[in-house]
Amino acid sequence: MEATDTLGQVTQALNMMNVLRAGAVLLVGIVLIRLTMTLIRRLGRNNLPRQQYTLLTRFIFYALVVLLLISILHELGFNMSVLLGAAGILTVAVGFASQTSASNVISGLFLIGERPFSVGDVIRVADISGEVLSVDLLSVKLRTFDNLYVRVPNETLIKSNITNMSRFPIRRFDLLLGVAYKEDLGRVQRALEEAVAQNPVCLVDPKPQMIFQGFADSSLNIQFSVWSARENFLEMRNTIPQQIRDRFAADGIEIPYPRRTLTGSDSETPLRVEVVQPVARDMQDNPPD
Amino acid sequence: MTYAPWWGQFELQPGMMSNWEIGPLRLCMMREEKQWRLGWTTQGDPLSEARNLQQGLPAADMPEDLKQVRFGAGTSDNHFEIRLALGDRPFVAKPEMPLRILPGESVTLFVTTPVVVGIRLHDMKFPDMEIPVIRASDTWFGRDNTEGELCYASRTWAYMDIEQFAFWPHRAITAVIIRNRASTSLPLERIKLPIPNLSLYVDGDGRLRTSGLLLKRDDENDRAHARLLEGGVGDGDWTHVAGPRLKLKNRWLEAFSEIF
Repeated sequence: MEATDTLGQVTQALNMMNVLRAGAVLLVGIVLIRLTMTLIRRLGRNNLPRQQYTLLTRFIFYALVVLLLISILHELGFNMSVLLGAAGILTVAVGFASQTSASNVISGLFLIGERPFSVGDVIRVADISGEVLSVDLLSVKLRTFDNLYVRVPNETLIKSNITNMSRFPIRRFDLLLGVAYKEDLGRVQRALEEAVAQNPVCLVDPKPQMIFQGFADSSLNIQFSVWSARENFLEMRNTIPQQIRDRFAADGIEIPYPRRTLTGSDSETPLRVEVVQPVARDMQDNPPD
Repeated sequence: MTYAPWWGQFELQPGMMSNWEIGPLRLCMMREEKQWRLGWTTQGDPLSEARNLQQGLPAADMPEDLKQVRFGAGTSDNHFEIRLALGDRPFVAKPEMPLRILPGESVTLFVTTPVVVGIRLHDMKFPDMEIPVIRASDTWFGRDNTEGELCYASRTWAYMDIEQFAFWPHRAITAVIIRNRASTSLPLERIKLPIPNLSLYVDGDGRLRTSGLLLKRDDENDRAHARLLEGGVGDGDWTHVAGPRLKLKNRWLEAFSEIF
């Protein structure tokens, strides 16, 4: 009986020692984690892209926290091999249950490695366009131009075509327009070039370019391509049409409306259409004798 | 002929205004009891040679076609300053027709670029605003459409003779000496000038001038070696007007479009 009491007291004393040791590990661990994170933040903030910096700091932080927890459990006397075995089974179970999340995490790692865009870029994914607010492990957050917050899962991004509108400093605007068949295309080109030459946001080089697109039903279709700095793209896009319209009006260049020529089935001659004075309704109903 | 400068320190008593017509720029500065009122437009002829300064006019209503801004300054004195500066981006100029500089030869080209007018109230560091006399057209200077630099396009040709330019009060002339030390001729269709790195001067005739630029090309490098010639190129008594916006850190410039 005495031996049992003594064993109990020893076990209790050992348990108390374990708790004290675990507490010490916890305190030292917290201090070490804070120091490590401060060091990593100082080193990484100016030397890494923002999204890689964010991901790295989060990864290291969680890894250190897990390591600390394992150390504390070990100090409390838990058998880590049993615990890790149980954790393995749990991981498989959780893995099956969270395939989508795992897929997003893997996709996120690929996105961060490939870097098709960075925080602050303007991108278009499917039919969504917006500024990238953050690139996280599970998703990318966008702010659309109408100020909506959109979360796009990383898996979707990996599978989709992404257009990065901020990658290059200059952009091209393709204006499609038609001119009447009677117009001289050389004269049209000169008018177009002179119209945009007055617009300071249109780049002088690369030069504006006119590309003939084809003979359409009612017009000669052309594409007029003009470049601008990325930040002036919207201004260019909104000012050029008016300048070209004004210039065409001044030079008498016609932008035609759609036209149809009606002919009879047995004749190449167009049907003659004549506009006559409208006949009053009472005259139609009661024609004079 | 000697011209009085249209920039520098000025004084306006309350109820008075001053009016500038400098090239395409029209600028009105009005002193009121508790504020300054500034009006301006740059919609005039870009190649105008207008150079009119009227001071001490009785304050009238600001013309409606001017953009306006007010500076609240009830306690400051009645002095203000018109400062000149060069553009904030490099300029790209073209020779009147494509030019080839033969091996071992050297040519001097003259290019003009529009200045920027800064308005600074005498006893305040801020507000301080800048008005480009001409909003120069943007252009791109680079190896391709993905790599290069956004610049301004010079509206005037690069000439070999300075006398081919009119006497513009709002454009500064830069002399560029190009030495071709390579064994092949140097085709020159476009040249990029590091305007933000140059100082601004006025010569004895009242023309605005900038630091000179010496560009050397050789066989070993695909960039030009640049050296700034402070105080200008040529004879004459030049007066310093403004320093450079930026220091020239890299002396190897991508200056010629044909030898990237």
